[in-house]
Amino acid sequence: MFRSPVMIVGVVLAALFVLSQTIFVVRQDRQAIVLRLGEFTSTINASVDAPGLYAKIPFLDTVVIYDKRNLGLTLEGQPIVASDQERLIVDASVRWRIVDPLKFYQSAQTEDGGAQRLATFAESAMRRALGAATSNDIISGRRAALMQAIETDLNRSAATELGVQVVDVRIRHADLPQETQERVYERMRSERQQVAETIRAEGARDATIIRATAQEESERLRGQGEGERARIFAGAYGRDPEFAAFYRSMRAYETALDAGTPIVVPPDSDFFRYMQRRGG
Amino acid sequence: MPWNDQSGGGDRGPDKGSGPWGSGPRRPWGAPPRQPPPNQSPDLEEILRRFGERMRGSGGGGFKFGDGKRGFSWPLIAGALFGGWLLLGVYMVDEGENAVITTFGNYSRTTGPGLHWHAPPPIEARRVVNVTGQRTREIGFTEQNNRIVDNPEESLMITGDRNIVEIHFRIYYNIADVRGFVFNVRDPEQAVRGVAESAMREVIGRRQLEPIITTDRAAVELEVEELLQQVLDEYEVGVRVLQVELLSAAAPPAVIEAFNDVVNAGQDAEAARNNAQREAARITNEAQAYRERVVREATGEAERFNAVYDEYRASPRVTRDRLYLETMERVFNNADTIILDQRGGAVPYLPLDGMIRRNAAPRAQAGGG
Repeated sequence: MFRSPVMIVGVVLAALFVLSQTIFVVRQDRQAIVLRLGEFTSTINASVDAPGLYAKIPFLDTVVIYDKRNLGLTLEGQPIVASDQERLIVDASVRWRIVDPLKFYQSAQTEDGGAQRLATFAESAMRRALGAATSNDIISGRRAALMQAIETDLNRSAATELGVQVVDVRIRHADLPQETQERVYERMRSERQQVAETIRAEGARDATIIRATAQEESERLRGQGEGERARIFAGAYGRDPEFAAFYRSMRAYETALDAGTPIVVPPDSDFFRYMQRRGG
Repeated sequence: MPWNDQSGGGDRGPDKGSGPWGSGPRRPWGAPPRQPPPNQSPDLEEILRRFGERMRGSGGGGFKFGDGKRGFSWPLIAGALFGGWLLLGVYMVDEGENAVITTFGNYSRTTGPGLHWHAPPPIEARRVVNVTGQRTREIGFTEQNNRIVDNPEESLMITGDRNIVEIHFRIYYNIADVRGFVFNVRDPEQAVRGVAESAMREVIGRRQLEPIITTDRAAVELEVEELLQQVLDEYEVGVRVLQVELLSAAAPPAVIEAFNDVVNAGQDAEAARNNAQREAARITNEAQAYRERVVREATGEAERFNAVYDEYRASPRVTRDRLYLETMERVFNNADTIILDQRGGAVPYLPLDGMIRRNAAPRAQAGGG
């Protein structure tokens, strides 16, 4: 039978080829549809978990295998005009999976094609949801709710159309356009400058108050001292005001008149009393 | 790719998701590698012939080849090849790793560390994944030669009060459910990263700039961690988030100078206050000193007066004259005294200027004490 080794190899190769056209594997994380001459016959491992080894009629049946996992789709730099007319650049990522491989095959054929169509759906869903919201809502307030709204919207529109399920929609960036960003920086800068100025002014104010308080205290202390002094003198001089005036005048003459002060004295002053008496 | 996953390093390269048919048909049934092609080279032929001759006597099932002179022991070859094929199913799982075994692509079991065997390919395939090892992802920057290179595309985020903040953070995670990690999400590492960034932006978007860069950092970390874990659980990706570490939360470089100036302003203000305090202390102390001095001087002077007064009371007339004369004596002694007699009627013209100058010059030199 096996006359020549070439024959053996040929037969083996042919058998392997037929086998490869008959038997196929659907992995745990894949799903497949089987088409007989282009006509749908069955799905494998789609809604029912049944991965493993399968057989088909060679050359008549074709198998289309799709991923069953959670797939990522990124929408970059979508310009959105919020309801308050503010422009935002939004990046979003959509997590999705193929749940109805037949419908997916009918509407998109390839995964790339399906992803592209889903992206179109997602863009318009985003525009609908975010266009009705204020920019504040998009940036902070209701971000989670808006993402949920887009997801729900997509699951209504794209899911039925494409046979996919949208697992999650996440807004990654929701940024201001470049030129607005510059203005934001300018505003941040001026805000900080204002804060800095306020802090410096407060410092100066406090310093002035501290000095003034000290001055106030100082005046009070000095006043106390002077008052006390007056009281003490009044107590002492009050014993004989007339003598006190005399005594105090004597001291004042001595301290008030500097050395070299010219003094014109009439000879009939008290000081010269005896001088005159002798001379007159 | 179960067909060619014999390397055991299935988790090292990202699964590009190509179907099993992409690379399969080349060796779909693990065809015995290197089936000896007969008559290929004289050397090989010679060896085979000798081998066959030796085998002919003992091996009863010796298969006659060619013209019958050259023999070959096919069962032995087949047995060796079969044995080799079975050996392809032997694999090692290191500590901290798990292996996921699929039978014709169907998940069958997860095995832990140790030496194991699975039915050789293409029946079964394995994927070894490090599960307990901590995986990290840096977001907002990359580290190059220990230098942090900012990635503004990722790091600049908008805050709830419409400011922009620069965030650098790192996430730590490992794998809690290896089955979910392998089968449920395409490119799980990338998914984790994407969700982490989006979670951070969401959390930052809910907060104000000031607290983010000062007091709320721990709260931000915690909130992102929770949100990230929650979303990843929804994806059933089998990842456990260990920690979210906020490495830096600062004003963006474009405005950092203004922010630093606020800190400087605080220092300036504090310095101004300190200077004022210092001066205030001086002023009050001086005043206190003045009060004490004045009171003490007054007390002393009063006592002096009292002493003199007591004396005066004893003999008023004498004391008074004596005080007067003594004082005048000292005063006139120091002063430039000019005595003018008005009784002469004549108002004399005196060169007062000249007199004073003449007298003042030597006095000024002598004076000073």
